[in-house]
Order: sequence, then C-alpha cells, then structure tokens
Amino acid sequence: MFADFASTILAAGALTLLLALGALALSSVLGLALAYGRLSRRRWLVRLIQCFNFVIRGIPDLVLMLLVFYSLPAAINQFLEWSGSGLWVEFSPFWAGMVTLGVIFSAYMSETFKSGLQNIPRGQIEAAQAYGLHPWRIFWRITLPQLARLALPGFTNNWLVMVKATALVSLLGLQDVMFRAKGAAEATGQPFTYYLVAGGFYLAVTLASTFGLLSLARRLEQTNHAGRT
Amino acid sequence: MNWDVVIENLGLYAEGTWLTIRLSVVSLATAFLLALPLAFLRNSRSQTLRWSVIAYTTVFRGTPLMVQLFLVYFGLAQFELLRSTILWPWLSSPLFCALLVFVLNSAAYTTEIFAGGLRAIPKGEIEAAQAYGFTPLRAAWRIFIPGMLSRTLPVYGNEMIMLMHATSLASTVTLMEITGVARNITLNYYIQLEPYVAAAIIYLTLSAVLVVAVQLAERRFAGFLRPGR
Amino acid sequence: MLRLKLALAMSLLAAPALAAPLNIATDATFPPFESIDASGKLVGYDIELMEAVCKAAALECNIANAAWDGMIPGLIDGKYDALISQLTVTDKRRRVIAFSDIYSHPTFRFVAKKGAGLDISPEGLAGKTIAVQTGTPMDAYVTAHYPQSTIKRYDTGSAPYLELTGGRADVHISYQAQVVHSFLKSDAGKDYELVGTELTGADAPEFGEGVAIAIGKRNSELVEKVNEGLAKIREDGTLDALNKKYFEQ
Repeated sequence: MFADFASTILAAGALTLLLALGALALSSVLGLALAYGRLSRRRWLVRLIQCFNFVIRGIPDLVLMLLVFYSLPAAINQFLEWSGSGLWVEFSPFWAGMVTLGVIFSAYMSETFKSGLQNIPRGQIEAAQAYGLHPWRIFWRITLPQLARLALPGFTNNWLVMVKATALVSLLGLQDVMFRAKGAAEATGQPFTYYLVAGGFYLAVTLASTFGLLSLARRLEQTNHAGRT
Repeated sequence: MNWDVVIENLGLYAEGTWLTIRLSVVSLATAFLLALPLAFLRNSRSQTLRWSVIAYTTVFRGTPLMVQLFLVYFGLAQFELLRSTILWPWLSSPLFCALLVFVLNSAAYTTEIFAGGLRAIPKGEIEAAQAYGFTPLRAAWRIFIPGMLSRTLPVYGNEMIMLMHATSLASTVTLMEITGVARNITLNYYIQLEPYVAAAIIYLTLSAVLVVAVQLAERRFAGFLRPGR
Repeated sequence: MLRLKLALAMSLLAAPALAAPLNIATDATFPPFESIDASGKLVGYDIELMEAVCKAAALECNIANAAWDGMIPGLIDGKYDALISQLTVTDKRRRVIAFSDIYSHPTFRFVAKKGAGLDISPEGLAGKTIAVQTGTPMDAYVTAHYPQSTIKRYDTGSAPYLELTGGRADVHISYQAQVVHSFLKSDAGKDYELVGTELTGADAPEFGEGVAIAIGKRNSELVEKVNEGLAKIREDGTLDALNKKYFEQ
C-alpha cells in the first residue's frame, strides 16, 4: 500500500515540475521586460514598475494565489454579468498557479536581471551600435551571454524558491505532489511517512538544480576567461 | 459588492492581524538568536561542525515550508510514543508547532545570510582585533557581529518580510491569522473577492511598515557601506 | 430585464452548447462518499451516483476534485455546473444556489475515543475540543450550540480524524454513515466509538433537510435534467443497488 501511495505522489512530480518550469519561463521573459523598463529613461514607466514590484513583494504568495484563482475570476465575472454578456471566465488551478507564480517571480527576476544588465559595460553596447548592429543582434550576441553569467546566482536562487512555492498550488486543488501526499496522509493516518516522501521529492529537485546550475556557472566562467585570452 | 461582510468582520481581521504580528515577531527574534551562533559554526574550521550546520540549512532551505509545517504538526502526532511524553502539551498546540517550524526555517536562511556576512568582513579588521589581544568572545561581540549585521541588513530585511509572509501558511494548521480569517469568511459567506482583497491590503500595509523600518535601520547602521556621494 | 432577455437568447443559442461536458466538482476527502484511492482515481458513492444520474439523463459529465474552499462560490460564479459532495440543503445555501431533489437523509453523530465517557450536551463538552470541517452543517451546528467548547476547523473532511487520533481533539462530528464506514471500520478507528444520540435536520435547523446535488441558480434546465436522472435511477433500482453496495442495507 505504501508503494502505491508513494508512487502516486512521485508521479505527480512531473506535474509539479511542469508547473515550475512554466512559471520559470513566464517569470524570466516578463522579468527581463520589467528589468529593461526599470532602466528606461521614462520616469512614469520606472515608477509604474516599482509600484508593481511593491505590490507583488508586499503580499504573501499564498494570498496572491488565492486572489488570482478565486477573486480575479469572481471580479471579472461580476463585471461581465453587469455588462450583460453571457460569458464566463474560469481558470484551472494549474494555469492560475503557473500565471501567479510567473508574475510573482517576474518581480524578483527583474531585480536580478536589472543588476546584471547594469554590470555589462556600456562601452560594448555603444561600440556595437556604432557598428550599426541591429538591436536584436546586440541583445542576442552581446547582452544575453553576459547577462546569463552575471544573473545566474540570482536566477538559481529564484528558481529554488519557486520550486518550493509550487507546493502552495495544492491548496487550490491542483493534484500535485503536496496534494497527493495530503490525500495519502489522511487516508492512511500516517502523515509523517507521506510528508517525508513529499519532502524528499522537493529536496531531490533543489539539490539536483543546485548542482546542475553550479556546473553551468563553472562552464560559463571558463568560456568567459577563454574569451579574454 | 459585499464589502459589508468585511466591515462586519473587521474585529476578526484585527485579531488575525495581531496573531500575524505576534507570530512574526516571536519567530524572527528566536530565529535571530539561533542563527548568530550557528553562523559562526557555519564558518568553523572543524569539518564536522561545518557540515552539520550545512546539513541543517540544506534540508530546511531545500524543502517547502508547508511540508515542514505538516511534518511537525500532523506528522509528529502519528507517533503514540511521542504523545505520551512531556513534550506533547507543547506539540499538540498548533501555535507552538507553527512557531517551531517558522523558527527552524527562518534560522536556516538567516544562518546562511549571516555566515556570508561574516566572510565578507575585511581581514584587516580581524587581524587588528587579534593584534590588540581581543579574546574570541570580545572580538565576536565588538567586531564580528556589528560588521556582519551592517553588511547583511538589506538581505536580512528581505528575509524578515519573507517570514511575515510565511505566517500566512499558519492558516493551514487551524490558526486564525489574517489569511485564515479571509478563508473562513469565504467558506461561510460564499464570497470570494472582498475577503482576500482585504487580507492583501493588510499585508501590504504591514510590509510597507517593515520596508520603511529596514531602510531607516540601513541608514542608521549601515550608512558607512553606502556608495560614496 | 434586459439581462434576462439576453440570458434567454443566449440559452437558446447555447442549446447545442449543452452538449459540452458539465463541470462537476467534488471534495474528495470524504470516504466512502468521495475520495481518492491509492492510484489517484476518484472513487465513492457520490461519484457512482453522479455517473449514473448523468447516464440516465443523457448528460456528459466530467467529475473532478476541487478544493472545498472554492466549491460553492465556484458554483455561484459559474466555474462549476454542479457539485456532488454530500451537500446538505440548508436555507442559507438555498439563498445562493439551487438544489436537485434530495437523494438521501443523513444522520449526524459525534465520535470519540472508547470509554471517554463524554456527554455531548453543551455543558458536557464545555472546555473540550471539537473538530469539524469548515463551512459544513456540522460546523454551523457546533458554532451555534457549543460556545464554551474550543472548535477547530479544517479544510478537508478527513483531517479532523487525524486530529482525533492524534489526540488534539476530544470529539468530532460528521455524517454517521461516513464515520461508521470509513473511520470506525479502519485500523485507526478501532478504539473509537459513536457517542450521543443520532441528530438530524429535525433536531437543529443547521443540519438542513437532506443531501442533494447543488446546481447553479440560473441553470433551471440542468436542475430538471438532474431530477429526471435521479427519478430514473430510483425507479430502475440503481440507487438501491448503490446503497447496498456501500452500506449493506
């Protein structure tokens, strides 16, 4: 029986990882956009993004998730109802969780990317512009490789925090590792056993990620030094 | 709009806010006191000591807070043996369990933050203290701890806010702090927008107060570390 | 008025859309009525009942597990088309959602450790801890009648049992059938027994009128179809067979 429950819990690991990776992609793209926005010369944009960051980092992840999953559709539907259309919106726990985590961590990623971008010597960008390189090419060939190396520690940290934050989505009813562990715990009366299994899963993911990203960091350092000689 | 429900229950929200504040302050203070000696041990020359601390911080930073909370609150109650010891009156209280987990979790992060701060103290200061014949305890009290605290204030300030946010998870083990009050209202009045928005506003206010407090502390204690005018 | 006309127009246009599978939610922490088995599948009395009703009414139904928190609000908002989760019909709920015909009349009972000698009157349980699931009729009942007891509320149906066996609660109150068939018959429950008298809606209004399928208030067509389905399975003996299978009566 333990084997059954345990394998069901770990099978949900794929869902958890999918959720986390989706949120990572979303937060990275959004975070990069926000970082550029923070460095822009338009004061209103900088202020707006600072406001956004303040709100996101000032509310607990759990409350933000409850807001997106329950309150947001309720508000939208109330508005749609008032405006007379017969439409409904609804979010599944998976999408609500992924979007919420993506948006929350985009605020943290924007900080990481902003300090990374600020550490790339402006002279390189100016030289590339003087050569008439297209902005996209500049980003792809000059900015991104260096940003990857500079932002990696912060990026790793955000990823680790995000993986653990996915446990909260179980409270929305998503049948992830945490949800399955809770079900097994309550069905068998052995919470310690099954929460230990869940904990083991998350620990394995964070350890594997840490080592993986550490070796990636080492490899990027090497290419950086190779470029200098 | 059902704001009247929120107004009716303002008393509950106030009690919840008070509980959140108590949970945060007690956990923070205890975790701080626990992390101070652990930070020194983390940088110790003894391999055993160092790796013991690393094992502790790795486990508590590598698993979600929710898993830790459920393991302690639900999991430990599984063991009949434990229930007959003198520890039981403590462990059966959700408040004690939540505090225990918040302390252990926060202390793990704080230990790493402080250990990093200790490593960043200029060697010159350490050598000067040795030259003056400071005892290890005196050196710790006069040189290491102030140096470490002023350097880690921004990151530690962030950790303080994270801990305050983490108290929202106490609602999953029957504690009626802010999030618990909000969830209770949605279950009894069938509304989903207003209770969570009210909770978010309260958290934003608390976070704003903390951020301002940390910035004031930074100016007062870490002013010498700021980039030159 | 305009909204009503628009809704009617939409429902006519949407008639073929009724063929889209219905979203039915359940809180699968309540064996033997609804729970998740070791392989992660939804099983239970209510699940089989709903599938039978859908088949009898020619409806395509998709039953999924949901967090109890959001079930009734979700039904009100249109996120779900129906709920099946041993939902008691109460006046408070009738104001915001619609119900099908009642398909069962449960009794409620307290459960405590054998030999605890508990008196379940409000005076008898003063100072004791009662565990309940939040937002259920049992929660409403103890909140209203036991002001001197400590009430602990949990967001799933099975967490209170964990607290009972863990020694954190002195007593739990739930549907008698659920207590007997999922807890007392299990290993964990062998030292526990039912205490006090059987309670029903006749004893306290909080216990409601009976259990039914909850449906969104504006969906009167679905209410009719579900009632048709219920009537059919009552006639052709499916309901009896189900009762026998789960409750050997």
